[in-house]
Amino acid sequence: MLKVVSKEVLGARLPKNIRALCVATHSQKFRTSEDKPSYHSSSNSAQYYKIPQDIRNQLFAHGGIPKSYNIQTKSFAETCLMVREPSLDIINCIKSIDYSKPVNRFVLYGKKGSGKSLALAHVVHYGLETGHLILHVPWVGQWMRYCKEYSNSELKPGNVDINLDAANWLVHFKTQNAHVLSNADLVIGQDYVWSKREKTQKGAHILELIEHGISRVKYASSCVLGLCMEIKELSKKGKCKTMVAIDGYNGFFYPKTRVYTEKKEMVPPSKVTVTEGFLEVTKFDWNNAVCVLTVDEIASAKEDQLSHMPKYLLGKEGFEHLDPFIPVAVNEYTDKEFTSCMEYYRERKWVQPAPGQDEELSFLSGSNPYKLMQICAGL
Amino acid sequence: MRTFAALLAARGARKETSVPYQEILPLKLKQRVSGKGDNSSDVCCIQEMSLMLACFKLNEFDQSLCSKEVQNFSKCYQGHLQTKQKQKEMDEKGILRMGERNLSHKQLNKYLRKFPNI
Amino acid sequence: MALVKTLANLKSVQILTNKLAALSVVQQNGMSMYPPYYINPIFKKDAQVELFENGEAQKLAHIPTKAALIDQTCSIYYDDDIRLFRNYIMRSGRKSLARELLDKAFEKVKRSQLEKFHKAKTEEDKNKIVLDPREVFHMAVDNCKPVLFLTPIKRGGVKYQVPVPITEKKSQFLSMKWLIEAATDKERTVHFPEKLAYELIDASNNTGRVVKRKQDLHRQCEANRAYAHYRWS
Repeated sequence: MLKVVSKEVLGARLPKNIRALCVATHSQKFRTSEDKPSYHSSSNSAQYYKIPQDIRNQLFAHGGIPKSYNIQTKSFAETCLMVREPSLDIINCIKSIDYSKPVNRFVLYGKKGSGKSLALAHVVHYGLETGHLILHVPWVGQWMRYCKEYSNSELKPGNVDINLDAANWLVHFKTQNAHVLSNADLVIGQDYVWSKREKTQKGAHILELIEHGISRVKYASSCVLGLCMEIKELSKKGKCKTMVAIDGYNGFFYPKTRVYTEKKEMVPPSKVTVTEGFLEVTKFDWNNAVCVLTVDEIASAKEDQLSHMPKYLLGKEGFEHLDPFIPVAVNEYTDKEFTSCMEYYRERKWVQPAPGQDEELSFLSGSNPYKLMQICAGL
Repeated sequence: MRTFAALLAARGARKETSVPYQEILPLKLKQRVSGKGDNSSDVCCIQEMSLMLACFKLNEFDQSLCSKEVQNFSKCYQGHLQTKQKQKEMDEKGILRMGERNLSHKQLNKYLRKFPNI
Repeated sequence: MALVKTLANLKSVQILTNKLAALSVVQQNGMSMYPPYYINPIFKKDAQVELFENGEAQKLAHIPTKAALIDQTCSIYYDDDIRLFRNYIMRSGRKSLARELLDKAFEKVKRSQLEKFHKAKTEEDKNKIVLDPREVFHMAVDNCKPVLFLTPIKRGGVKYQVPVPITEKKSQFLSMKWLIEAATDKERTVHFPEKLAYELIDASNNTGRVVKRKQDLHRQCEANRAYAHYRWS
C-alpha cells in the first residue's frame, strides 16, 4: 500500500529517471549496495550487505560463519550480513583507536542465537578491508569440546597437543591472511628447534613457520603457539596491525573439556598447548592491535549454561585476565531490524508473504534472530 | 401288524371334525411390518465408473487426462451419497407424504398405526 | 390449579423425551467426554470475526462449547490438513517429535525447490517452481488421492475384489497414509524428513512411488471392473 502511494506521489512531481531511482531505493530499504564495512554508518543500520564471493572464500572458507547460517547462505545463493549496532559500534571504535596505546579488548556478549558470531564476522570483514593481520578463531568450542585428536606434547612436557585442529587452523590463518603474508617484513625473531634435524631459523619468513606446522602436523600446536608469539612481537615493532577475533573465548577458561591425557584424565584448558598462545595475544601488554572476542554459553557444557553474562562465563580467572575490557551487548532484533529481516526473507523467497505474518512471527520468536530463522524454515 | 393297521387308517378318508382346528396365532395380519427386506441395492454409478476406467486404460492411467470422467464419477457418487443420506434422515423421522409410492418400513408402520387393518 | 401444574409437567417431560430421542438419533458420541449437545469450537480468527459481523455470535454465546484441541490455533499458518497429516505421522503420542519431523521435511522441500529456482535460467521456468512447501504438500496429497478402491465381497463362497467408489475422507486418508509409508520405507542412513520431502516433491510433480501406487490400484480396479455390480445388495 505504502509503496503504491509513494509511487503515485513521486510520479506526479519528479522526472522519470529520478523517480525510478527513488522507487528502487524505497523497495530495497533492507539492502545496501555498500559492501565495504568501513563505509557502513548508522544510516545503514538494519540493512543487509552482500559479501562478495571471493572475500567470502578467503575469510570463511574454513569456518567463521555458524553452520546453520552457512546452510542459509547456500539456499539464498548469496552471503549477506545485516549491519547491526554492536558491530557498527566496534568498527567505529576501531576507526578512532590510537594504535600506539595498549590493546583494546571488545567482548561481545548476548543470549543464545542473538547474532554474536555474525557480528564478529562483520568485524573480521572490516579487518580484512583495512589490511589488518587477522588472528581469527572460528570457534574455541571446536578445540575444547569437539577436538579431533589429542596427544601428549613432546616439546612442552605436561601439556596436551590438539594437532589436527591446530593444523586446520593454520590453513585457515594462511588463507585468511593471504593479503598480508606476502609482506617480506614479517620475519621470525627467534630460533625454533623442533627436533634434532628440524628447526626454523631466526630471520625466516613467518610463512615458513606456518608451512612447517601444516606439513609436520606433529608440531602444529607448538607452531600455533610460536605464531601467536611472533605476531605479538611483530606488532609491537610496528611491522603489522593485528586484529584478534576469537569466537567463544570463554572456552579457554571453562574447566571441563573433552581433551584427555593418555591416562584418560580430563585436561584443563590451561594445559592445552594452543591456549597459551591465544591468552598471550589477548593480554593488554602490546600495541598495534585490537581484540574482538565473544563469550558464548554454548562453549560450556549444558549444565553450566546458566547466564550469558561475561563475568559468569569467563569466571574469575578469565575476567581478571581480560580486565579492563569493553563489553558490547548483542540484543534481540529491534522492530526495524525485524522488519528488515522479514523483508529480506521475502525477497529471497524464503517465506511467502502473508497478512499479519510479521506480528505473529515476532511474537513467536521473541525477535531472537536464530529462533526466527528456525521458525521461518518450516513455513 | 401295527404298521399295517396304520396304513389302513391312512387310506381311509378323514372326517373334518376328527382334526379340530387350533388357532395358535390370531387369524389376521399384524399391525406392523419388519424392516428386514428393505435393503435396497447399493450399486450405483456403474456407467460412470466403466467410462472412467476405459479412459484410464486409454491414457495409461494418467488421471490428469481424464479429469472430466473423474469429475463426472465423483459427482455421481456424491449425489448418490446425498440422496442416501436424505433418505435415511427421512426414514429416521418417518415423515409421511401424500401419494408416495415406495414407502419404507418405518413409514408403513406409521400408516398402519394410524389406520389399522381389520 | 393442580391440573394446570400436571399439564405443564407433562409438557416439559414430553419436550425432554423428544429432545433425547432426537439426540440419540443424530449421533452417539462414543467415548467423548462431552455430552452430545456441546458444539465444536470456532477458533479461527476470521471465522470469529465473521460470526460477530453477522450476529451469529450472540446466538452461540450461551451454547455449551467444547474446548479447542491443543493443536488448533488461530495462527495464520494453521491448516487443517497439515494438522491431520502431523497426527498421522505421530507415533505413541509424541506430537512434538511429529511436528519437528514435518517442519524439517517442509524445510527440506523449500531448500531443494529454492535450489531449483536459483538454477533455473528463464523467468518462465522460475515461475513454474512452487516455492511454498505447504502448497507442495497440498498438491502432493491431491495427486495421490485414489478415486476407487477394492473391497473383498463374498459371493458363492468366493471372495471377489470389487472396485467401489471411495469417499473424499477415505481417499484423503489413503493418500496421506501412502505418503508416510513411502517415507518410512528407506535405508537406515536416510532420515525421515529428507525422504518425506523427496516424496512430497515427487508426488506434487505427479511422479514418484506414491502416485505409482495409486495408479496400480486403479489398474487393479480396471482389471476387476467386471465385478463392479457385486456391491452390497
